[in-house]
Amino acid sequence: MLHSTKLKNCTATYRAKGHLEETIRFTFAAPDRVCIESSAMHEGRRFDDTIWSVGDRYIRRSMDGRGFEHADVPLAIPTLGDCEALGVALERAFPSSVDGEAERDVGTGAGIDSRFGEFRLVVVLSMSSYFLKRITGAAEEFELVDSSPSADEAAFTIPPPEPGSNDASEEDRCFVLYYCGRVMSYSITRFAKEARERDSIADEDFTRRLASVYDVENRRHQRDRFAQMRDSMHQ
Amino acid sequence: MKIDPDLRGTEDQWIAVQRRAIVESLQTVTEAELDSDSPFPPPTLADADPHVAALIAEARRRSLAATVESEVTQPCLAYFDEQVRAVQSKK
Repeated sequence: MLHSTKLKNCTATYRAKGHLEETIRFTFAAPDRVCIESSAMHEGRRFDDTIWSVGDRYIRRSMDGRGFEHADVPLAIPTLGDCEALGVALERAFPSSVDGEAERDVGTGAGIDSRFGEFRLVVVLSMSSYFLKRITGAAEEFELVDSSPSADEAAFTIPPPEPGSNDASEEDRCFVLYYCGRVMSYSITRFAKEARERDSIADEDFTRRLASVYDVENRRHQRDRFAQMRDSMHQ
Repeated sequence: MKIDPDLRGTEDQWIAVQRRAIVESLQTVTEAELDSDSPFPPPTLADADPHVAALIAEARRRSLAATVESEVTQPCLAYFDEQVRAVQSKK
């Protein structure tokens, strides 16, 4: 996601196998215009989820075979636009990290093989299209089944909530803020660690550069929380 | 923050105490967020050596402290001072 300045319109469909089998379609039209649709069958029930990140809104429409749920979160959640800003900050702080990552020679059957404690995560990229081809080792395993270098605008037609749909906006807001924050923070830390190992950056310089990246993350990701803190202090 | 008009007689000392309380309460919130024992601790890298992990933690602490200072503490102090001036002008 941090490399999305290089990402063009695209659509990718994945088959995921975990606690249930899902088909997931990812449509990217712009950094702040993304749609993720997933559908699955489980114990005879159909599950459909569609999530949009459009501008500064996160929108979800879901159906689990028994009822409907929706969320519409009109707040500045971390969007791909935030990731773009972070990418710029990372590039400025650690100049060769982003380019170096893209140019890394991963050989035939390009992939990333990482260990996270007990877990071994293997990510395989298609070197012809640069689509994520397969992920194994995670709770769910993903395999690319279809891709195209275009985005269907129809994917961004957002229907109103179904009558009687449960409004889960508050739950989604907390979930999205928490997990996006962790993912962004984790990405920053990993890039910085790799840059230090590659470029032998001195301690104080490394800390100063990394703090400048966290400044961008804090200002963008925590703006609502800071506003809440100011409001609570004013009362 | 509401300013109690009855405290106008001891205002200089009271204002200093209140300003310090604002700064300290926000510092406490910032430190709590960085505490690894907090309910939502910052993520860590399993493969980072302790020295690098300490530098990362220091960068995170330095940035959060500076951001809270500019985005919350200074605006809150400015608001507080504005409220104090409003009360003082009515004396």
